[in-house]
Amino acid sequence: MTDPLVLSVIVLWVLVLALGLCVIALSRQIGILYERIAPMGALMIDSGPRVGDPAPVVDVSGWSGEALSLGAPSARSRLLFFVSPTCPVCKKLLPIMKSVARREAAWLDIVLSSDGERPEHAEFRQRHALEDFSYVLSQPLGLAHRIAKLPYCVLIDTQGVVRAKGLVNSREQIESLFTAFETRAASVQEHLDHVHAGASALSGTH
Amino acid sequence: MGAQLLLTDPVVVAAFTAACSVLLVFGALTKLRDIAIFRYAVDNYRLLPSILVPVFAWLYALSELAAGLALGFASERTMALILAEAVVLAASVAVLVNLLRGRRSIECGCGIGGQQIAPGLLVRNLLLALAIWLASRTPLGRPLTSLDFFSWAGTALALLALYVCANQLLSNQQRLKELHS
Repeated sequence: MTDPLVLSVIVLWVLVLALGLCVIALSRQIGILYERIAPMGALMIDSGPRVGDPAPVVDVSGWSGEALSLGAPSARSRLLFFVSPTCPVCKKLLPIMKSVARREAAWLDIVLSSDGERPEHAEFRQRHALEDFSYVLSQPLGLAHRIAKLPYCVLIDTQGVVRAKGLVNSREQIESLFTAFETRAASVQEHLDHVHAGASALSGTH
Repeated sequence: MGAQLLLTDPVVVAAFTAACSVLLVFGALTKLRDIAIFRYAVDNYRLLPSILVPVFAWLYALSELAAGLALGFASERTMALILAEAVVLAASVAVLVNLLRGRRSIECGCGIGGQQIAPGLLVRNLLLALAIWLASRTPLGRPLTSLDFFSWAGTALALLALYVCANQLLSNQQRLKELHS
């Protein structure tokens, strides 16, 4: 025969922990809700210009004041890499971006894009030796592409059409962007979904 | 007297020990899993010369790991207490200095994706420091019953749930501010 007090304590602990889990889940859901209703759009593949659509043409000034018309047809494709001097993941990806720039130099220009105070970016640019990249400070560019999370990449072809885009956190994801570009997948996520679906089909799992 | 007895009860001390140990070890493993990200997060605080940043990042993550393991498993708690409090203090000072500098947009590097520094983080760290102090106290000797083990596990899990909730709400607060701006 179980002591009623013991039983009561056990039941209460189970309830406390279950309620704790519910509070965690609710606070997480509130966080997701805030993300989704953010004015600049949420972390969604289909926010901003869609893959296959013309990129918004945004006239910006480069670091030395040179005029750039990002999104307009150009002789070379462009990869817009949205970064911030305070984003650790962006900094981690910079060496990878440098190697990508060297490898794809024949057809691709990489444009680093951010916004904020110029002195902070000047130090960031110098500290990470980014002089070889086009570097633009433009809030309208980020708004036009509805960038809500960093680091984010948008690949625009010579016709000014968005060919691939997505949030990138690793070399694999940057490479996936080019694969999505080559395979004309709608997005990096769709490309990854196809790869995973193919792997599942091959292994016979569902 | 009653509060003193409660705070040194073996169940309370063991629950705080388990929760703090898990938090410190998990925090350290998150940092060590991608030390480059943590290194850049440390760099963002602008408190150390660039050359010392990688050394500090490794030292901090390993100290956090050692503090967590020592708190959980070592019989001598004094060193574990000093190390764990030093880890929390170092992080809090870095956050406070940057808040005073007005650099609120930097990521905290706490291993929680994208969470920026905020005054709430200092309150969280203060409570964590208090919890570590409670965890390092010498418990009273009293015979434990089977019910005590339920209480121990339940308290430890509830403390962890509270910590997760606090982090999530701090992160939500940042998103809410962005929404208002």
